[in-house]
Amino acid sequence: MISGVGACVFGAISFVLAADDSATAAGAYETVVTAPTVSVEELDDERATSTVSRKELERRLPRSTPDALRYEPGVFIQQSGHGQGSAFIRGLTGQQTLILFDGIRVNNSTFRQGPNQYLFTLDPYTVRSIEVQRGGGSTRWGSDALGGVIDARPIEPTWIETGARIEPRLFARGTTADSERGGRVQADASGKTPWGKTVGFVGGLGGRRVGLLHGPPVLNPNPNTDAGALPWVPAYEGYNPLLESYSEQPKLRTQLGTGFDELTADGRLVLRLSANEELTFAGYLYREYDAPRTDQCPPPTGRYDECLTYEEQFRHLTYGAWERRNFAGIARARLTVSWQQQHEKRRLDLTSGNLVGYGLDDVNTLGIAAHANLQPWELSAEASLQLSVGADSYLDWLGSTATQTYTDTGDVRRASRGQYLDGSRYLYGGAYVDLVADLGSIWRGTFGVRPAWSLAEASGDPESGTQAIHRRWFPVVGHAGIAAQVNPPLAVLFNYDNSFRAPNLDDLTSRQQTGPGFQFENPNLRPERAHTFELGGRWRSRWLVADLWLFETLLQDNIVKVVDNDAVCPVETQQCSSATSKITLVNAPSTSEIRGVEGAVKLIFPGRVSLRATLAYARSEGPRVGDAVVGGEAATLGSRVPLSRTPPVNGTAELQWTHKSGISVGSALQWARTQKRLAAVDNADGRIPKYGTPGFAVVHLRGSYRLGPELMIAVVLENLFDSPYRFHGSSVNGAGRGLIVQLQAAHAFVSRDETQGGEF
Amino acid sequence: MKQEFAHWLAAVAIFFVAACGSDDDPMTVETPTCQYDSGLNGLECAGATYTEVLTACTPEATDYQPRNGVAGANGWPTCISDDNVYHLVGDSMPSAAARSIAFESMGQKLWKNPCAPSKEEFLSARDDYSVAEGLASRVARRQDISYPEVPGADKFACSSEGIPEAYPDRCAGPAKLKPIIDDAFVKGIGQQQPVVQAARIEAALLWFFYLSLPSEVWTCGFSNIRDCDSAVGYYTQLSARGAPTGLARYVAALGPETHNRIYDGLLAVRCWRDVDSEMPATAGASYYDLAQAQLDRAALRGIALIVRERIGKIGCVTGEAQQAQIEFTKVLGGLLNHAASSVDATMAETLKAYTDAPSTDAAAITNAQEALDQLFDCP
Repeated sequence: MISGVGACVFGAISFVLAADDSATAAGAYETVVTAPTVSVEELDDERATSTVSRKELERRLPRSTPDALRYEPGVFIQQSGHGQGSAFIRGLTGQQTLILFDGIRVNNSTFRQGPNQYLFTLDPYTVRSIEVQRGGGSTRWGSDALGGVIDARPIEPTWIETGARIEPRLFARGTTADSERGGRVQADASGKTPWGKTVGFVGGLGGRRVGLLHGPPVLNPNPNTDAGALPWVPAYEGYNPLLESYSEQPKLRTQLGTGFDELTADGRLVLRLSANEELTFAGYLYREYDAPRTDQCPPPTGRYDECLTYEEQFRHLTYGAWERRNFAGIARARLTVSWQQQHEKRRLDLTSGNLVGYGLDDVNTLGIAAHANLQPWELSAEASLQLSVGADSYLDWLGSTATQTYTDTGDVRRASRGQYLDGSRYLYGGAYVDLVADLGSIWRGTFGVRPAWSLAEASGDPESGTQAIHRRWFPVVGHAGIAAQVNPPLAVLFNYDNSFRAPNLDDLTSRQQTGPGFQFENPNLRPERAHTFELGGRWRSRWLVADLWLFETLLQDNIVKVVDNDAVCPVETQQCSSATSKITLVNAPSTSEIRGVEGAVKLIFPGRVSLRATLAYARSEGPRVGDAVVGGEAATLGSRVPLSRTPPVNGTAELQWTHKSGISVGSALQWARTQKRLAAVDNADGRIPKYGTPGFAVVHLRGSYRLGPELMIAVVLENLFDSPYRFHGSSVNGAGRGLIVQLQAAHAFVSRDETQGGEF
Repeated sequence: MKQEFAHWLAAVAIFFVAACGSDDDPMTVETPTCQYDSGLNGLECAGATYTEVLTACTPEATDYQPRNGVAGANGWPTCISDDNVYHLVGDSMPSAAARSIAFESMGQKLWKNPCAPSKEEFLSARDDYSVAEGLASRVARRQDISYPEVPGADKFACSSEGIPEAYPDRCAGPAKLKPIIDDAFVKGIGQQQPVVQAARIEAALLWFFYLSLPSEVWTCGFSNIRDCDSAVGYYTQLSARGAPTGLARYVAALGPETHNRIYDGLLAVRCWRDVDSEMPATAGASYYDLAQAQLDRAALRGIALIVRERIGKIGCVTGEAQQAQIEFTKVLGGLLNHAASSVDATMAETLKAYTDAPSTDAAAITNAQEALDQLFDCP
């Protein structure tokens, strides 16, 4: 019984994707990618989820994978650099959210507190869809999934059942706001092997060069104060410090500390052993070069020529996956073995000391994960149970060194330790059971539990006063939920989730310059836990698809960054003692809270017109720890203070019309209100204007045209009114008025055999 | 056989002697044996000795005098400093104190080193100096607020490209001090007169610490109220009045009352920001002026005492040690010339003539010291 209703309420795809599919059915010449024989695993649909489809990526033309998430409810993208991006989900980011690629963890034990750049290292050309689950997800996915989970799904080969097919595809892309020039060549092939199996391959090579980002400057919300008109960062080309007022400045549009280069390569080989069994071998290589961190290039109040640059930011992900359906009482089983390398080479130009510092960090991760959905167990005509079980484990081992070279004498100094402790290891994983119970046509219950493990090992470094780490944690987490199809198409859902994050090697061992100051390790941290309560309502009809969620996340032992200038710095670590702000990580002494509401609504009008809007609000609060901030009007003083960088009220709207001729036009609005609720640590952060980040509303126009099956051109006129805007917590301002143009050309060569599906 | 053994013994002795001057940490060597003696060890001479006598000096009528124990005296309101203790504006020790600590660490390796500093010691000291957010970062932006501001609304323009070259007096840190320090490190690492280079670094950094006092008080008024704490951090690492460190240690050793008057000035600054804690400061402009004047007068005398002592030492030593005192005097004397010219042009000329080209002539030394005594007589 539930299955019929579930097609609407509990279907395997999220509401956004469902709505898009209805539009797809109405449209012509959309990219058709046949579903894999074996269904891919998707995030839990009883939770608050949304999906960005390939089709939306082609329409929105995002600059990066993080950029692709800007229209998802409850997701807010922060950028410390033009070549970086970090997703806030329900007010949490970095190590408190989990990134997956094809179900494989991208997070490793060096993901740091606060925003990081690693979501940027997933090439959007290789992404077929991105699912976002808001709220905790540790039962299924393990540590870090406190605020939410992002799962990027890779593109798959286009299948042909008989004969052979090969389709070369060319992407060319350019922008005006940051002079991006680049593209990708891709091959998509499939066919029968001589031994009767079907094999498919999709892969490509890509690259781009991105220049300095142009856009109107964001001004401080109150330019008449001591903060002046311009926030500390970014610095602008042409800025003249000798002028009396901002109004006398020449047109400041070019943001220094932006631009980067990028190379990518990937290949995905899928062997269909049978109609229900697949073997996949895949490799994804991402290389980013010379990406400055904008807020440190130059740093606030620092010399004009000082800069922190990520000279190399690489990710290599290689994995093999075996997947099979309908055997031995198992509906679906998947086993993956993965190896991932994250490589980072930082260059810090300290011209005040005639010095160049280099940091080199490599994280190698070996992972194994097994998952199985058992066949549903029919208890009665109206009741059934479905059990999912699985286990996963990952092992990180680190290499980390630091050197500095005096530019005038050429002397090289090697530090006793790098940002991390060389040779550190971190083992993490767990096993889980998930249960879905369907009771009649109305009720569905979910329950899951995961015993987990996290083990950290690092040798000490007496010279720098770093103590050895031997820590073990064995947390148990779980979730439960109930959903009711109250009155179709309305459904009401309630979930409780208990997720965790064990302190990782970044928390326990790292020393680094961060936005607010110098951060050093705390080897005595405890795991943090998130208790999420969420109440949702869904409406799914032909013309209206809507989601509304109320949530409360209670963070227990929340690991927070605090300014503690009385902290005893480690020995021989002058970066710490000399820092204006000394940052330590501590477990908050009492519960932190994030409460909010988020929703999305999509209206589908006759004539292939659709309107989609999202809204998100989150209010955070936690115990005040660390130093008070004096003289900052925006600082909320008292015993309870906001958590760092909590996004302001924000939302989006997208209007789209698609004509059967292949023309599609639309417009998009992104907006956010001013965020003045700042944590104490935010006041020391150059990325955040002194009295809060001003609100904004930005309009973009979009258009695309598919000329037959082989050519598509998509254009976005971004920031139509050239509005100054900055996403809260970012170093860079949004791009000014400009064009993004992408051209796709492809041609499928198909053998004379009968073909089934899979054409452009 | 006997001769061979003697050669072997000599080789071993040379090895150990040479080792002293290279990689050993002077802090851990109890009885240093130097390849090159710095010439400064245990330096005492009559020309450098000084006993501070200030019986002829009386504080200005408007000076804040917390040691008198009369709250609200001399036109000052009752304030947080009346208990004669510096109370931090912020919650904790400012990073300026760490830079003063780094200065002390550099001193152990360079100018307090009983041996001529080795290349490794210069490199290690440079590590202390160049660390992110350390001394180098602040030298590179330090302003001399006794000169007119760089035009324009940007009060931190000295960090901008081309500005230090265009406004070298105001942007004294990047325009005057940084080149001296960088050059001294390069030469010191290259072992060109290492004792001299150490002295140049010491003098330039003392100049930096002096500049930091009024500069931090200035920015305390409009940029960051905790910069008032930084002024104290640069002077004495936030140690108590009776336990001076950093620049304060230099001053207190030569002129205890001058040190106390500087400390009084810092308490006056704190009093000003207690009375007017707005950001930017508004109502207490007159107290700002009074506090800055009181502090600067005392601090200048403190620097004058240091220069006076070094001038005296020029006549007591020879060789590289003497050249070190000369270079020290030239560097730090350059700071005093500007202030001296506003007191007495003639005396200032006498002083400048000497500090520009210090000589070992006893009469010239005495004249220069007398000029200093008269120009900066009272703190």
